[in-house]
Amino acid sequence: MSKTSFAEYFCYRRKFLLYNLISRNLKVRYRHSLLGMFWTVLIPAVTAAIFYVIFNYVFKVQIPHYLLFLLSGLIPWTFFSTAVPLGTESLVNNYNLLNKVPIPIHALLYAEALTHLLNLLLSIPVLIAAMVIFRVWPTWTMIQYPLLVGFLFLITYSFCIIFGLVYVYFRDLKHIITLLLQLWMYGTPVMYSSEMIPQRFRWVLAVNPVGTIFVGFHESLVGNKWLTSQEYLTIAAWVLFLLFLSKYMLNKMRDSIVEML
Amino acid sequence: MSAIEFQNVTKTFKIWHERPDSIKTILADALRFRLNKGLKEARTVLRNIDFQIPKGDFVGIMGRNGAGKSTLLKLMAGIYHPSEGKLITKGRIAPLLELGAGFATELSGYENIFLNGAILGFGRAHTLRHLNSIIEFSELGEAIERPVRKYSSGMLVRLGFSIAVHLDADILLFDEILAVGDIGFQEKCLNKIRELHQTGRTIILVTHNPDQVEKMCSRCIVFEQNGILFDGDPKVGVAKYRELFQ
Repeated sequence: MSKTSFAEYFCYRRKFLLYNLISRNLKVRYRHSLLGMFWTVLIPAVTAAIFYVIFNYVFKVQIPHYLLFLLSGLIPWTFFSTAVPLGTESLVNNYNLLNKVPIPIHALLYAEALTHLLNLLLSIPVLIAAMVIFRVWPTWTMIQYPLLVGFLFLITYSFCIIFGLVYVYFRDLKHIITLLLQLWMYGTPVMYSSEMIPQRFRWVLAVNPVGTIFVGFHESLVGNKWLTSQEYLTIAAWVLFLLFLSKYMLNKMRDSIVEML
Repeated sequence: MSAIEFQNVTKTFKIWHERPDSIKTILADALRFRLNKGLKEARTVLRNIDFQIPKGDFVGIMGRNGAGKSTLLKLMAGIYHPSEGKLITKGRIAPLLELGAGFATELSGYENIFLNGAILGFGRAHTLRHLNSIIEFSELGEAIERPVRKYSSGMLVRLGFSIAVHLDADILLFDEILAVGDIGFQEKCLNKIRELHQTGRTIILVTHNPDQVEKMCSRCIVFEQNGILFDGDPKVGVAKYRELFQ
């Protein structure tokens, strides 16, 4: 079999398939649900409100516009932390499709990641509303935000492929990921700012594949700062490394994964 | 011109005996100083399969349970891939393997038509064009709006078959699925298959029904012990198939 090219990797010629898979994901998730897709907006908003109360009033965190600060990180974090576990289980859960019709396995994972990206985009109005409330006016540094969302999406898709493939062979991964994501959230500047990290722990940011991206979410929206070129290099290195690793694994395991399900 | 060409294809599956796939079992084994890595063994399901099916052929495939027929179809459909050798297919393939072939069970029959069309590689316009004939042929009526998980096996076959035959695939694969529908629908399906054959489609039918092979197929392949026992005239093939059980 020929190798999957990057154009195929992003299902370039299978848009109708992607459309159908995404629409199925949404229908399955929100069928019989009263609030439907509104939940994806509600969850980061409520989470942000809870953290706001705790960190602002109890721990007295000194970050300006702290609620907006929280939202700017929590919305992409919600995307990442729901897409990765669901992507991990996606191949196993779609046994019925994979085993009976020829369907490119990465299309399922790509559709899963895109479904969550759609949810993230729906939460953007909440972010804009918070900006209006806090009278934070648009600045040029904010154009980094969508760019960083794009990087985060590529990393998320890569993790969906890597974990999704490994999960077929190693079913404990599901539970490991649940724990990993908890640790990961505290190891990522979502609720706190990167300046609060003690100097001797700064390396955690670079080692964390999404660490620098989340620094960027805060700085572009609330800090009115540009990420340094070194920070962009760190992000680019992680994005490229994970993309190539996932593509390599996909090409290696693609032909034998269905019979292992 | 051949539609399907098997070039010395062998298919083996890796089998793990008591494969330790959770940390709990690995830990339990390690505690007993018995690190069980799982016995890996290769089970050959098809060995050195070499044949070709010209475009427009109607091939009946017969053989005992476990002879490798379903694996053969999954290879043709591109769900499995050869372990050795090469497999070339030309044209779009509509596989109808087992019940509920590739349905998303939570979606309605109607929604599954589009999903299936997309999976087979067709676009929205193409699927829409054939939508009415698919629904009409399936005779599902209002049930088309119901989620597929509530379908009976007969209804699943009706929907699966209607989708597979109406979307203009070049090659159609059927795996013993017709036996589930009632006689009326079976007849209708067989007539539809004949009609597709007459318009030049390549058809591969796995069946245990000798009459179907004798009456409809232009060629019969009998499988036995992971290889081809007979390949040729349907009447002779059916006789060979019957001999297997004497």
